[in-house]
Amino acid sequence: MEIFEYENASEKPGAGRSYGPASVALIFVIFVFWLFVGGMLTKASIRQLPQVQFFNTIFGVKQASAEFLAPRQNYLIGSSRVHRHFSPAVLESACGETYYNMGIGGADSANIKYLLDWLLVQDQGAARIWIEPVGADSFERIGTDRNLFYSPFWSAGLLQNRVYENGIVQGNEPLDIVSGIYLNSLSAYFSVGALRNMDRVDLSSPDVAHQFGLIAENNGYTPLEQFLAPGDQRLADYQAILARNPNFVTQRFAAFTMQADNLTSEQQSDFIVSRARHMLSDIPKAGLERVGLVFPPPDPRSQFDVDSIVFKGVTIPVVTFPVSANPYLLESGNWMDTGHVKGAAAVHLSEYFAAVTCGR
Amino acid sequence: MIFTEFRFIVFYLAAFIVYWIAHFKRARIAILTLASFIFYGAWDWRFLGLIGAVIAITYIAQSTVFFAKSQARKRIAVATSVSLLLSILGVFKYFGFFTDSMVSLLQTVGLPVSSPMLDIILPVGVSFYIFQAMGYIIDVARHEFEEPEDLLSVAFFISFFPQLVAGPIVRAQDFFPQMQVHHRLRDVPWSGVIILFVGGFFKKAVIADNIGTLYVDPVFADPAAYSNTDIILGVFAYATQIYCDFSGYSDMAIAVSRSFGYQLPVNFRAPYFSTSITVFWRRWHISLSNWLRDYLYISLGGNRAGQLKTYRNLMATMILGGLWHGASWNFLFWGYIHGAALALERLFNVPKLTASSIAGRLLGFVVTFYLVCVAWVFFRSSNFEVSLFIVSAMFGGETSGSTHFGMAAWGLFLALGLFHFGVYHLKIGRFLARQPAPVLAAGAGLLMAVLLLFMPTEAQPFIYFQF
Repeated sequence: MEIFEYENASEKPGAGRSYGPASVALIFVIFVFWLFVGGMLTKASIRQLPQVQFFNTIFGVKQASAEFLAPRQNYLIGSSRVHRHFSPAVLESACGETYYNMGIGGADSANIKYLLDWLLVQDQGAARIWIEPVGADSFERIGTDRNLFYSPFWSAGLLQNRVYENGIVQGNEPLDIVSGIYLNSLSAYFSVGALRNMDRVDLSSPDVAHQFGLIAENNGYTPLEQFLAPGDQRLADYQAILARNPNFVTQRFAAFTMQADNLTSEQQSDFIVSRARHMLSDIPKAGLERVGLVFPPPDPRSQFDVDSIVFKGVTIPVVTFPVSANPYLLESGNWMDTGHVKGAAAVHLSEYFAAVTCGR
Repeated sequence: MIFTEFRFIVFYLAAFIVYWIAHFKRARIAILTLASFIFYGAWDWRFLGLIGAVIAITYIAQSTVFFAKSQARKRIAVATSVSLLLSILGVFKYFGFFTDSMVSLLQTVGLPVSSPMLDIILPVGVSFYIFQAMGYIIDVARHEFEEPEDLLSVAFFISFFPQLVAGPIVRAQDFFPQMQVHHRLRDVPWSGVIILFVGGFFKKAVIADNIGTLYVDPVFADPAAYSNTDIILGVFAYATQIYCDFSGYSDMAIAVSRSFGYQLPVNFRAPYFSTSITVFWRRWHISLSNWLRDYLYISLGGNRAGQLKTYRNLMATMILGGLWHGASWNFLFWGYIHGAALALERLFNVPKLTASSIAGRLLGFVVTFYLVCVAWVFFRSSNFEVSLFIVSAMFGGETSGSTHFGMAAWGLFLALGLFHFGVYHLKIGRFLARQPAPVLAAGAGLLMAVLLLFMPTEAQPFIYFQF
């Protein structure tokens, strides 16, 4: 039998090595250690590649417009909950400062972190950069969220909370956090083909200029009703939910409020710190002093009673939207779908945001 | 469960730790056998019944053959057991082909028949372990062993998980003696194991899977949409894909097996650098080539009964080798092309002619590679018509397609070819295998972190798992 040629390589003069159990264990540890170090380095590297981050056209256009338009005093970064909920025009009118909405539908934590880092190094004189720390959405969008790099190291309690929040069930019961969850996260880590996302780059499409114009005109904000066609599946899905349960919205917020009430102020602050840690941990103090956190509804944390956290000795403002101060959120007619309010309610959200942040 | 999946890593680590903690040889064999059943059952637990039947047949057959008091009884035992194993293979692998062919034939002559509503799933690796079992029974009949093996050893030999589903096919004489050795962890050549596994991973997960998606699948799905040169590129891409896929698996299988102390045979030696089809078959899927030579070609008479019968035996061996991959006219024709080429090369003494000069080697390499690619078309295509269209295009036939991959794609394949040539001729792997394992482990970890980016989001099954 012909055996593999490397078999006897170690028999060459001066290279005879053998490894006992402890050495073999060390070899495995070294491999895993450098695999994760390599993963972190790779993550840091791809964050520098704009084309990898441009997972859709809007992303590229928003970044480009932020670069080429006049610098603003305030920026908001986040998912569609930021994009569809905060009107810079309303904010400017209320606060007398300029705003730019960099919310992007479908943005994940890696995208938001990328934009935050990018804005901080632009040095455009932004007084405040508000970010929506969406966390690592590893369960719902397991194939795209590169923040899975962190998830194996989360505590079981934190993971369990994520499961409850996202309504992830196994059968009819919330999924129990067991070792399988960690394996699942690691599994996804090992199967992510991040560079495939480059396939989605589409900056040359003819509507880029049109998008750019809209974004420039509205400072990045677009109410969802201007975007969704009347027959959109998301609208139909929401109507179907309401048909089954007319109290869906009130019950949902009651659950959020109950969650918040069950936590002490300290626990709520700790929760927010843990949520934002992966966004903030590598930012120097001068940068942290320019950052604020915003939790737009229907994020469950939007019902927390927290107005600031202390991170690395810096007090960071936090904006939440309790229904006690925003009763319009309980009206099912004010919602376009399960995740976004209509334009009129977005104006109220913006006014409330302005009321609690002007001058902060 | 495939080697590039995360759950395999967990499974492997568990098996590895338990195996090396166990002290006694028999306990270790039992542990690996159990792990192999878990590995195979992870595909589909129903397959366990099948492999259990193959093990039982093999065990009973070897005992019967060994203790048979007459040559006639021995022959009956061998014939019965081999027929049983071939029947299993036939039912799972060829039932659909023969019923479909029969229905077509009967419908052609006007008889109103329809296909039976029986959908038989093909258990992964069934061809591999049945061939391995058959080889063992024949070896016992050929007096290669002094005493019969016990049930556990036979089960371990047939089910050993690193090579269970896609080889390399191991000969019993090479494997059973290794069971008698008390393997020591410190005897494992870790540097070589790391290089082999990471190299195999790179070939499979990065090269084969991406090339398959980017170039092979589109061309074979709709060849008419492509120009002649791009069809040729698609075929070259498939040659690259199947080599990287299958040899990558073999490399990983050998590495995994070696980490338990067991050696598996080399399965590939840069086959595309061959200067004749004869040489190609000494370097491509070596364990199958050897099996076909030892148990089929020689059993048919080999080259001992005159020129004509030698050519007949070559053709028969290669056609049956083609059918081993699956029941279809495409596989049959793929085997026919190789059989015909081997016969012609033997007739004109091509291997010696091409080896005699640099020009001969170069010409031999080009012709051999192109011919192998032509044969791959039949191996890969969905049907015979598509195969003929692609082959026609490869020889200048008219195509209406205008889709182009661009020069960058040709550059990619040229770069891959040069990289392969450099690694093979400069013996880069051997050089790396001399370095300390901890250093290689660190490098492998860093490299894997980068390679993960280039992997498709879904793990792709190995091509040879279907055989």
